[in-house]
Amino acid sequence: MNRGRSKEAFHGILLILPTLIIIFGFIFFPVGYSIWLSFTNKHAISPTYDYIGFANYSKLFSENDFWFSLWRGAIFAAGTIFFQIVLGLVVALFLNQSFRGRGFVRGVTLFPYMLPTIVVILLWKWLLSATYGPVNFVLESLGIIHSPVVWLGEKWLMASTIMVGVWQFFPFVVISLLARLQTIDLVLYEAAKIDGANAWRRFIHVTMPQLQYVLFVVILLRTFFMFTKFDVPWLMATGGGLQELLQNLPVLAFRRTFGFFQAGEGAAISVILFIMLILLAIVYFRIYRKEAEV
Amino acid sequence: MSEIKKMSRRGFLKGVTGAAVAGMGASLLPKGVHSQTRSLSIWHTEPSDLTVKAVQKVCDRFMELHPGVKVVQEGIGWADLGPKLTISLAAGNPPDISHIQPYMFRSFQKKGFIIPIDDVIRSIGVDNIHEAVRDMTLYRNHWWGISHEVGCPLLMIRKDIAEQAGFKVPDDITKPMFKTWAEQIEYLKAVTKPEKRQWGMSLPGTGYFLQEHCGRWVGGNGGTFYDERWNPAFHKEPFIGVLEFVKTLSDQKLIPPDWLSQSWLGMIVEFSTGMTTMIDHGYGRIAVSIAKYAPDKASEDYFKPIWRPVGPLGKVDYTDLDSEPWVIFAKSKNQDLAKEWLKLFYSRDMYLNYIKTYPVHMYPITKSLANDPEYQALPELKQWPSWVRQQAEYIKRKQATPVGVFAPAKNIQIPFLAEVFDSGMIVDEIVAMVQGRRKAKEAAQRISDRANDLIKKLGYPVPDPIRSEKKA
Repeated sequence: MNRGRSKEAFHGILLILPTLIIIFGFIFFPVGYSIWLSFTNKHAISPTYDYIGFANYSKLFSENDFWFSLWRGAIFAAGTIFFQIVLGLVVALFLNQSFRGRGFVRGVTLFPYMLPTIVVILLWKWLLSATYGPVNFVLESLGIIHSPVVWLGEKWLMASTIMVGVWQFFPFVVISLLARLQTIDLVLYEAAKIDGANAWRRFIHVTMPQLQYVLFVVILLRTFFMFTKFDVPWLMATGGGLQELLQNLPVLAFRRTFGFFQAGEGAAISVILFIMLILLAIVYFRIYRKEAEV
Repeated sequence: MSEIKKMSRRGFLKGVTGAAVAGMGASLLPKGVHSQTRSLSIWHTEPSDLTVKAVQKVCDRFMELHPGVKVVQEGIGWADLGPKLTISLAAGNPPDISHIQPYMFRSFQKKGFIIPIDDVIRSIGVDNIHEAVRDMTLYRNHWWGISHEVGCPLLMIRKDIAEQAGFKVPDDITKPMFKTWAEQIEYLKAVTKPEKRQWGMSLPGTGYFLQEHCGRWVGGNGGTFYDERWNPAFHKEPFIGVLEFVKTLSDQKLIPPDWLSQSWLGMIVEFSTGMTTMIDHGYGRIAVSIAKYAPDKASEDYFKPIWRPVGPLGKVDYTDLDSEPWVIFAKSKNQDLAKEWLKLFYSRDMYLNYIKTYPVHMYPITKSLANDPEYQALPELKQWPSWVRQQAEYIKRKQATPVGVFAPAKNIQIPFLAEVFDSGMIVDEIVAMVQGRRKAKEAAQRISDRANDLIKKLGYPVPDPIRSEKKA
């Protein structure tokens, strides 16, 4: 009997072995290796390195560059997430209504999300160019502005980048919310109507509570995605010039690893980012659990 | 369904385990048992279709001459080369042959990543290669790389716009139109007309190219990025003068308002379409852009190179040698084959075919090809004679120094150039100065301080990092 069970266990282990190898190889090993590198002075291409304890971390925490990057990353993430949610919700509510051509509009709404980031950035950099961009041309023609606004200059770069981030990623919010909106029981709206609730009250007291769990997941996912975003801030500043103004922690990690060749420091930044996101997830789940219990 | 049922769980596990063991066993066999095919992987920074085809022609010919050898090339954009090489070197798996940036050469050589290629140089002909290019990677009596071409960025002007504004563009391309930067600024003021969407000059905001401009100008202002003892010299007067020049261009709005976000390609389009009247980055590749955006103006009657002015502290102006050297990596298992491939690349017909793809930009490294009637008869050279002649003149006068190294050319021997250049610290401070967050002097001092910190962290003695060389 025991022999049979141990044989089964062996077979079981053998069956899950490929999955375990993949998980260890592609998740645990890179994370573990990054953590190890963060305690070394590894040069990006030199083979030799020394263990230096927490020196990379203490150096980073003492640098303005690190704190500015954290701050800029937070502004970018908060700005894009807030407007993605607002815009996504408005569009999802609109697309949940019946009207002619709804299928087409739904398809078009998803379009920005399907484009590669490089295409999105090139498109918007052209649209927003102060010298030949159509946006300024239209605004000037309408008399809204009298001289070209430098959308990609110092004053407006962060706002323009947030706008591009919102434009590209709000369809994700639309899809998620629309899926939930379509499954809300219409009886709830009927009951609210009978109780005398107007459209606004129905939205606040019926729609929003029904959306809250989806919104929670969407905000959590978008926070992870936007806080670790590399391509949008990097490409908007074309890898130089105003890069410092859009430098979040992923960009800082890249610059330290491939610019300064300080792979140890780059790894330390990645680990800090990793820990921050884990903490954020824990906080989110605690709030979620409390609210669910209520 | 019935087929699946036929296989027992035990049978399935036996099969999977057997396959895994067989696979592992095969990977442990000596290399020769797998196959007799040897391979060469080649990375280069010329990813355009035309040039890729020209390189492929060399690869195909090589495979014909060396049966059993497989050659695979990959064209990589210059901006992606650094990170890709870094990753491959960190993984211990670089290509056999690759272009590198000139300023990376000593860093790679010092770490033992590349091997000398003296016999390749000899096969091309030591005296046949332009000295400035040949000796770029000469270190301790060995050549460690060889450039694939020479391209010098020139100061180009819209001749028609200049003449309309009442300025005479000299016919003699060795005579400067302006003697100093101050004169150049006066000219730019005269031709800048924002209401017509026309600005005096283009300047790129992309970190790499902004640094390239500043490096070139610091030479023309009698300075350098590093002093004789390899100490950062950014805080000295010549570099501060360059920062003030950039600040003037920006503050007086002589360059387009969003220049800090402008890419290299965008800058070329600005110039080609007449949005700007001057560019100090006139690589021959722009000829293609001009042909595309302004085909009716594709001649030197409209787009003309002029000799650069010097800064207030300078006597001689400089341009860059944009000529990525081919190197062979020490990890290559087929170093001899790699050398043979390079020899074939520089054979007359193959090299001419390669140079032909962008003949104005890719000035040949060999004197024999530069003087070859077939090269000289290329239509692009007839179309842009001054462009090519001025590049040759800069090279002849030794006023062309490697990109990222800048004047003096011997600074290429500094082993931490790549780290400082690629760190972005120079451009960060330039931008902070342009935006008024720091004064020029303060920004310059900060670059030197930050560079010293990095140099120290890399293990070189500060001050006077050159001491590390003596120890070696």
